Amino acid sequence: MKGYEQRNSGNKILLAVIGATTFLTAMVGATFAYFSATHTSEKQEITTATASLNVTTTNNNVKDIRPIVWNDVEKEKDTNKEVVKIEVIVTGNSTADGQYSLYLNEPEITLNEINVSDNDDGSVDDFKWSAYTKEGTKLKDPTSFTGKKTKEGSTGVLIPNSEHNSYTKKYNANVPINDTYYIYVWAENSAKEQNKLQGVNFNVTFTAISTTKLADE
Amino acid sequence: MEDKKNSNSILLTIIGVATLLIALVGATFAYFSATATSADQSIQVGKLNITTSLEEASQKDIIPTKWDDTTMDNNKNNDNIAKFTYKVMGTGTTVRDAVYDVKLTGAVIMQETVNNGVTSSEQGGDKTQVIYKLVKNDQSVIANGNYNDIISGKEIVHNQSITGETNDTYTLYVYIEENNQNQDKLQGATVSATLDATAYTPRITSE
Repeated sequence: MKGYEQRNSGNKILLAVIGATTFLTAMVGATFAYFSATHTSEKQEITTATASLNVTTTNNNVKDIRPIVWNDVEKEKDTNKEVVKIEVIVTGNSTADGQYSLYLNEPEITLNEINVSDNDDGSVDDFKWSAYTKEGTKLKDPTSFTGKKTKEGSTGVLIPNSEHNSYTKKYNANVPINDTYYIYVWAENSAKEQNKLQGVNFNVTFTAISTTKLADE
Repeated sequence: MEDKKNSNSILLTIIGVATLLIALVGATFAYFSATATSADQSIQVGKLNITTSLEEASQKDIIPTKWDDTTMDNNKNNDNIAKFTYKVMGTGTTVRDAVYDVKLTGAVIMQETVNNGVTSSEQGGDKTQVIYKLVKNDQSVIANGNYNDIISGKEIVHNQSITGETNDTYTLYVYIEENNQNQDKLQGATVSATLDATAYTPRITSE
């Protein structure tokens, strides 16, 4: 009879341990068995701004120019046959406000060395250019070419903008950009022999760079 | 538990502020740009070129004679009038409004003594009696004078247009003007002519 009592007690302890273990397991399991609920909203799209830019150029087809005195012909620069007139049109569109700068890319210029005397006065800086707006406002005084090629873009020569007397032109979002500039190129007469300029050929290009980051006012 | 919650909140705040700072700093460099470059525009300088040629006169041993103002052919056929053919060409010239001038330089080399039985004081003849006349393109006389005027050179053609197609022919006539007097000092003289042409582009002024 005493053995039955002991066995009963052992069973109770076992059951208690099992029960406690089960409870603990249930408790531990309970930390992972929670309620959850999710809800997905409607898809929200974010678009980034776009900016496009284009530079087109035409000229008055003047060829075989010879040296002139700019001050003599400035008033008739649009029709003078010794002045190359280049029309530069900057167009574009941006979905954000921004600004652009326009550069003249310096070309390499090689002078003529055939049949020139030692006293010849011709030099690269006899070649000059000046910039005007479409309305005729001067943007840049006569400036000499250096004759040394610059990389296209921001290492060229900035063409000033008449707005705010700065070198950038602002534009507004979704308002088309359409600006015209006139660049005049000629060989300045030095009143001395300039045969080094005879037969010289070079090309001029223009680069516009726009950014949506506004310059500090 | 509360301490752990507080430190979690502080950590999250720090992370959030740091993120915001990075976003703000990043915003000063994060702009869009676009670049466009035009096509080439050609600048071309012209050329100016002039060439000349002078053919030697065929007449030799000329004597004093008269110029026929009425009939040019008589002068062309007069064997006592020396004729030089001078050409001016602008081949290769591409500039506009270029012109040229021509300068004539002449010399008369006279013999020191002329022995023909006439005394020196009775002999006549000098450089002023050696005459030149210039005709362009076989038309009219455009310049004339005597050799005394051209010892140091004289511009006899001025401001003539020259282009790539220019091919002007000048005839220089040289003779001894007969004056019905003794002109023996001009016997055996050698008469020479040099023509220099210069082309240039004059200054342009607004009208």
